[in-house]
Amino acid sequence: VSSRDIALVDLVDRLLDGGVVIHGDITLAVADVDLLYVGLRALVASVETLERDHGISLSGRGSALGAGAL
Amino acid sequence: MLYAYAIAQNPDPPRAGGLEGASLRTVGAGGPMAIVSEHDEPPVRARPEDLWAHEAVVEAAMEQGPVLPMRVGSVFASDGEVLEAIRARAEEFRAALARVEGAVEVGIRAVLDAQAGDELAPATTAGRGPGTAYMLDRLERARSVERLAAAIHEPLAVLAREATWRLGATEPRRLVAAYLVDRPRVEDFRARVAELEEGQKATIVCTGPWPPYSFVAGEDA
Repeated sequence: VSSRDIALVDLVDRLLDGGVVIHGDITLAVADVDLLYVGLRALVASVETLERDHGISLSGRGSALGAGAL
Repeated sequence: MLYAYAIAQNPDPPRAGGLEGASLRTVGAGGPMAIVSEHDEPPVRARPEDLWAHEAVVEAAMEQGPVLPMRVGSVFASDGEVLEAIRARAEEFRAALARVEGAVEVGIRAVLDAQAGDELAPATTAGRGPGTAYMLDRLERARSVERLAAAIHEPLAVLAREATWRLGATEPRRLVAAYLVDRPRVEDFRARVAELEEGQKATIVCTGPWPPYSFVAGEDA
């Protein structure tokens, strides 16, 4: 699990739930969104397992801007 | 069709490539502008590389002034349709742009471990059936999680212009929050997160700075 993976979980939250909605025409396929969430559930679970089993703190390292993620 | 990334004040398009490498331009008439690129087919799918491409444009736009990111997947048929949509909500967008100017969003995610049930005083449960003890225990755990969430959220909210948070209902209970933080205060904010993590029984994951996805509504929205 990298800091970019963690940032991805937060990015998905923001892009699919946040942001300006001007009208109803959001073109993402529901099947694609579902697949993305299935992939992310595994990612979120592995982040939490890491934290719990090893006490690894990931604070401050998940920056989308700072982690060279782009 | 036009794919829209963000509403911005600056009429200059950001210096970045759009989805599928398309060039960016702005659409507007003197007020808030939309940052768009042209495509024959909807250019975005729900996959990480497309989401990051959308994000890259919004981040580049943020370097040029305040932005309101669009929800991913927003398309318009023509310039006229974009103009009409912006004009209809120009006042709202103006207010929202002013509200986020000079600030970024920082997110936290914390897994809250409540051990309070173990500490219930014997007096509380003495003379009661196992069902009652179980319910009391659950109630006390729920309260303990709420106290822990507040102990993390409140000191951070003080450092932010605005904040939004939610507490997950399923185990493990999770605090997910977003803070609108003045750019110069981001490092202080991170330092406070680290302090809180030391002091509380919780792992706190902090991400950002992000464009203000969670703070796009106008004052009265």
